[in-house]
Amino acid sequence: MRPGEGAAQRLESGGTELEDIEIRLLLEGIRLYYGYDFREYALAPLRRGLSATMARERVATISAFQDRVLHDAALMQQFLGTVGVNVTTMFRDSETIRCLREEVVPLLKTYPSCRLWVAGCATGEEVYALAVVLEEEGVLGRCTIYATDLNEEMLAIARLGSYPLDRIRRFDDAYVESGGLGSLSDHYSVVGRSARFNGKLGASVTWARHNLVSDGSFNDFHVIVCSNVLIYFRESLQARAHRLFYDSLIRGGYLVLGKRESLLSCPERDHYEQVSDGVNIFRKMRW
Amino acid sequence: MAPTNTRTIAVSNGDEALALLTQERFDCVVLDLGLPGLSGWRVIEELQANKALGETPLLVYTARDLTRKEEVRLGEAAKSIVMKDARSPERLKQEIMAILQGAETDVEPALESGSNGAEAMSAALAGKKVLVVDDDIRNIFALTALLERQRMDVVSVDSGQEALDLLTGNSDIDIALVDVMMPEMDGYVTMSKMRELRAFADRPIIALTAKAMKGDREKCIEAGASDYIAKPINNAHLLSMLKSWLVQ
Repeated sequence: MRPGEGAAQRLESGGTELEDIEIRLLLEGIRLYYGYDFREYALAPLRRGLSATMARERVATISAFQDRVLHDAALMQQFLGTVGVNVTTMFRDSETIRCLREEVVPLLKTYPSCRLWVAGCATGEEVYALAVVLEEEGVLGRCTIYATDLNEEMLAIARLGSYPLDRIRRFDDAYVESGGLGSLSDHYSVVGRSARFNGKLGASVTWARHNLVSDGSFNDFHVIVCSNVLIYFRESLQARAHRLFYDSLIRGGYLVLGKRESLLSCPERDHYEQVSDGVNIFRKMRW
Repeated sequence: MAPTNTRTIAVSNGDEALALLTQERFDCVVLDLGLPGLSGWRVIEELQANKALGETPLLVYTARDLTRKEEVRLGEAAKSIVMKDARSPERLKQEIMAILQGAETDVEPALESGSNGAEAMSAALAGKKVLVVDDDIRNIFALTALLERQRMDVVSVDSGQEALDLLTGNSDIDIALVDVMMPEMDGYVTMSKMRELRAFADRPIIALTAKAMKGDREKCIEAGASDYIAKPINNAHLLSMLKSWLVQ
């Protein structure tokens, strides 16, 4: 057994009392030094991320990991990627994208300009998917997309707009299913073994770091997309994020959540109306 | 959905509209910009010039694409702007309903209302010229209202480039408030470029940031900010910060 594996396995399955103490110390250290407050995060994904990073780094105990992570900012960035950010895809939820195209975009056309916020954009695939939809519907020119994430490394990848070609090709079917008007390849050029999204798509996006746990509202938006991010949050934190979204949406604005997410932890849930049955797009109708 | 006792009166040009508005009180005006004769823009100017008429809630309904400047200008006068498109009737109806129901909490300023009590007039700020750089129009409106109450002279732009254009060859701005998160040129770049301009090399710049983390704030100072303040902005805090930088 390699160093780190034993502790990592134990950790994932629950952890001992000592490990619980070590986790608390680790999170407190990260908060004090790096400013990331994980104390309200759901424990299960945190444990999984921790055990994966520890096994990879061959660190035997959480205390030893704490030593490493507090002295190595690059490792901290990696750890952030492992705990907070899921691997994203494009057009993953084709029904939602179709609804966005057919129900939301026609309303966006009645505004002289629109702001959209993708909160927790990770490496940016869904942001480019959104830009593709807006471009095909002829509204990209009047839209500004703000794409934010906690993680600087993820944003750096997203900004490039370049992904492995074989991965992007796998999204062809989902693109068609979601109501795509042409071919996904219309929107990127092939450079070596990469697919690079057209400059026009990226030009409409403002990438910035934003922390849903601690940061405030920075504009009002016609659409906010936050998909598969809140599932990592404890309920109190979900409520905070929902309050932030609610405060940042214009009257009549749309909140787009992930497929398995709901407004259950949203204190203002009565103020939203579901746009279409079975689709997680909600419109702020009362205020 | 329409309220039962609503009366709608339609007129086909700006002169008729103004004549009618001076005779009768209306709860809502829907105005097309592309009118024959007197243009919609002129009608808006006339409405704003007249205190009683200027308070009538206005909805602009237009088929023509608007420039960013036009949109901002209309945003000051109108509750909402509806572009003509397939779904416009539905949206127009919702906007009218919102106005008739007196739902006036739509523009929720990013300023904390609770702190307004602490907001006393200050001679230290009167007459000073402040530049507000923010793409968040809510915030520009709220800050303008707050600072004008202090008898400050407020100039606002919604992008970093416009701020630089304005400051080039213009040296009468006393202090600048710069939002960090803006499209195209973000606040950090804007502030460091402002520092390169002779006119602004040593004037105070206050960064506005929605971020609460220590590193983000240090980044503001590194980029050239003299100070920073967190959004949502606490009015009293901002005013005392302005005072401390302007009195020096």
